[in-house]
Amino acid sequence: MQMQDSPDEAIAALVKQGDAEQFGVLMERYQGKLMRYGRKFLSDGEDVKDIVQDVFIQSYKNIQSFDTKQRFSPWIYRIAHNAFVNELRRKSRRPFGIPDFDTLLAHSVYEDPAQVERDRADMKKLVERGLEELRPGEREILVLFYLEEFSYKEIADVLAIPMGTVSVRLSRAKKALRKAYDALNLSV
Amino acid sequence: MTTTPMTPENPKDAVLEKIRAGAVRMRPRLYFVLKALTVAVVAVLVLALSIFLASFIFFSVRLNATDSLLAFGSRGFATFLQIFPWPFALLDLALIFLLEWLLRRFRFAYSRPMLYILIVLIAVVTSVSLLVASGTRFHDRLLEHADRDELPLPLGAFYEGAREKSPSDFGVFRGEVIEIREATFVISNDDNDADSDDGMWEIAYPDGYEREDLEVGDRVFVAGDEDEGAVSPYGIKVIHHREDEENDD
Repeated sequence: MQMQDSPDEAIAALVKQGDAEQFGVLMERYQGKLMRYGRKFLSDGEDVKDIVQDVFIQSYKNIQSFDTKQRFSPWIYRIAHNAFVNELRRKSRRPFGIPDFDTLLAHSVYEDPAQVERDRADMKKLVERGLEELRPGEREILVLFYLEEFSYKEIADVLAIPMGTVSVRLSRAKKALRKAYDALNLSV
Repeated sequence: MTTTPMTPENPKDAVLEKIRAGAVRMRPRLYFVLKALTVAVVAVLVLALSIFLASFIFFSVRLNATDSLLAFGSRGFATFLQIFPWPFALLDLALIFLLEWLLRRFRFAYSRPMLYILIVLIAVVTSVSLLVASGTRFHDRLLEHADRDELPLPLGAFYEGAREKSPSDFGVFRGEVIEIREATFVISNDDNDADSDDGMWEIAYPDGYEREDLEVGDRVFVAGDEDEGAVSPYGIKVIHHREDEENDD
């Protein structure tokens, strides 16, 4: 059965029904994206391949918990996020994102589609050029928004935080990125 | 010569190989249903425990009449804060944080600010606890069982500790009026035990106090400064009239 053009959710439904080979199609689609996500998030290419492999294993093991009425990409990125955060914790021995004061209070969410489009094109170039100067949490949210092109809601599901917090963190990460580029005397 | 098995470089191929070999299997749907159910059951148990503990605090405050202090002005309020059972309250707060942590794995919780969830949980626990402590005889019945040694040990000991001695160190005195005099009245020192050697306090009437409100046999709650058994009160409250007691009987 030719599944190359089918949506992720339809393929995931087949995997859930026992067609394990179809999981290969999903892995094919996400391998490059997750490797890029991991490299930007961790800033270390060495472990990324092993972690992505583990993300696929965890995804396959837990595929029955995936609701095919929802989008597949935030679901698999959520698993990847947890795996990368665990790796950061293991390396730094410091809790990542704890305490998470951003999630305590409500923040307003405003997405102007036209502004987002203009902004996305410029910021995407900056994000692709490098994020080494930023903290992992800042790198991650920039990658999810500008490279993976997730909406606020999808990022909220990946990071398990309120949408208002996504807005605040993204704005803070953009400022940090511009500041880092200014410090290096690179044009923004 | 030993040979090392060839492992694919590509994560996708490596995982597919493991799936085909049966080394990686998907968990059944029932596993996730049971997992979600377990978290839900634990959350309900933590919520129930939190409500039980909070309602016990309200019950204990009512039983010992320490809420009377709230009617004695700012000094009474400060004393109330001093003798409030804070260890129980902090334990209850820890349970609410645990509950919040359990709920954060569900979208309805993580998609809302943590403070909102905490405020809602505290409001729910407080209001249900007040209802249990004031609107039902739940704790009174358990206390009666504890008095008859009918409760298992941890719960029995818990309820035995519900009745506190008059915290006279904080200037709080509770007891039964045993004599009414011209300028003072005398109360027994009610320390909630069966001893008869608990002593007594002589209480001066505060300015403007209606003496007619007081009768021998009334249970009263007094807050004031004590000097060798004589108390100059800043607040007096009758917590149980003798007449009411006779009517109850």
